[in-house]
Amino acid sequence: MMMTLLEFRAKLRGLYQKYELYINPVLKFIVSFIVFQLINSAIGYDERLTKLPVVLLLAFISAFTPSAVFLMVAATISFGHVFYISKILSFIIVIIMLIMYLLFLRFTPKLGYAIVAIPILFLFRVPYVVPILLGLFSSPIAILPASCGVIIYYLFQIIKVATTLQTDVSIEDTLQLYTYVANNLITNKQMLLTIGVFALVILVTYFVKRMKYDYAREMAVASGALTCILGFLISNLSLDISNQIGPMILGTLLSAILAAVIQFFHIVLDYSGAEFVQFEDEDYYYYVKAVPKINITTPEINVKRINPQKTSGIRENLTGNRYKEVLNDEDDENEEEYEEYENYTIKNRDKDN
Amino acid sequence: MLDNKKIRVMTKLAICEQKSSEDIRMSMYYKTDYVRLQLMKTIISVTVGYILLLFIIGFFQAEFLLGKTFDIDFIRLGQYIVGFYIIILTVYIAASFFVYSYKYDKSRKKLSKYYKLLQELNHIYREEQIDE
Repeated sequence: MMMTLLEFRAKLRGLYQKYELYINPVLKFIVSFIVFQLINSAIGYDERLTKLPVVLLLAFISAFTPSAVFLMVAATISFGHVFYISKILSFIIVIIMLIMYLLFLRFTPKLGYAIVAIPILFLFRVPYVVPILLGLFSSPIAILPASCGVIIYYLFQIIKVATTLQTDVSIEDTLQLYTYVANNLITNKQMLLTIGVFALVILVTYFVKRMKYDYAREMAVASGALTCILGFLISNLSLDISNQIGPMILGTLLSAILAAVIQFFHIVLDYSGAEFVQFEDEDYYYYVKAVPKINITTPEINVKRINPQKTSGIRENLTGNRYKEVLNDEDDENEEEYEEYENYTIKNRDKDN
Repeated sequence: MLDNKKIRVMTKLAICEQKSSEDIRMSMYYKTDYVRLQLMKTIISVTVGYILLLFIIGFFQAEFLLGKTFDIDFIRLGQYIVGFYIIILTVYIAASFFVYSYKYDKSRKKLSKYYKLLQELNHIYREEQIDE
């Protein structure tokens, strides 16, 4: 069972490496399309932005540009929708985002994804996968972007409620709208507790992952999920919103499974891919595609020798003389092991003889 | 003639440059200069962030503030504002000092492979010169 999984993983990696050039944009296109559609369905006030051609075009742009552009587009769409309803409110949101960036997110530029992922996954009811993964693959500093993600989710949640209260647009009303949003954001205990629980999940997952057990990473996922369930149970019961407990537990279990799958397959995504580089020396320009070697694990075949006498020609193979040139040429981390293995096999055979 | 060995080293170097461009940029600074620059950036961003935060709180409390303009002890308010600013700034400076020093040391270690390759390339060039 495990072996087939490992093989499948290796094959998947090979496939991904081969077609990376095509798979990446397609995946990015799909993800950005889903994200933009979700934003539109959640706060789609400006109808110009919700039109399918616009969304498709934006997703297409995001597919071929760096991920920072995607984040910018997502932020701009959300901003555009809020701007459509209330200019002051959108102004305030920009300021809040600026404060978040200047005081917190500056220090974790690589974790920008978490800020978008948390609100989006909240809509799918599995935001719990984010803190678990952050604990697994990052450090406790990831608490900052996770917290910002939670704040953004609740901010837009409150805006959604606030806009249903507002009917006509006047300065008086927008100021009211703003105070309503600010009041609700500051006094939102659920948001604060969510931030706390997420921080706790990140910490627990991170520290369990670093323990020196076998399967520490799997244990980390499990303990993170457990912390999540317990934390939200306590917070939900203390806030008396017990109707959320069922979806929360289901969501957490689903998140744990997702996290476990991602942690198993992360090598596929995390591998060093083919590189396209260009450089020059005095004589030439070089345009090089460098494809790293990967070893697909195929099932090991154990050959049991019945007649060990027939060893002609094997000596050369075993000592690796034939391949020595290749080995010498490459920087090989396992070189010492090879040599040890060679010496070991030679010694053993000498003993046998 | 194409020198395969040289191309291989150069390719590895180019990949290194692509992957750790930030580390290479960092290595152009001395440690003190790098940390100082980052601290300055942190101070500026914290200051701007703090001013924005004050602005947004002020906007939120605008009604309250305008209603009681004459009752507020502005000196105490100012003391609070400056006090919090100093506390926040100290925390940020201390944290970023440690973090950026650590980051610099770590990036140095990461670049050791790059330097090794550079030496190798240098070696190849020297050999070429000897041949000529």
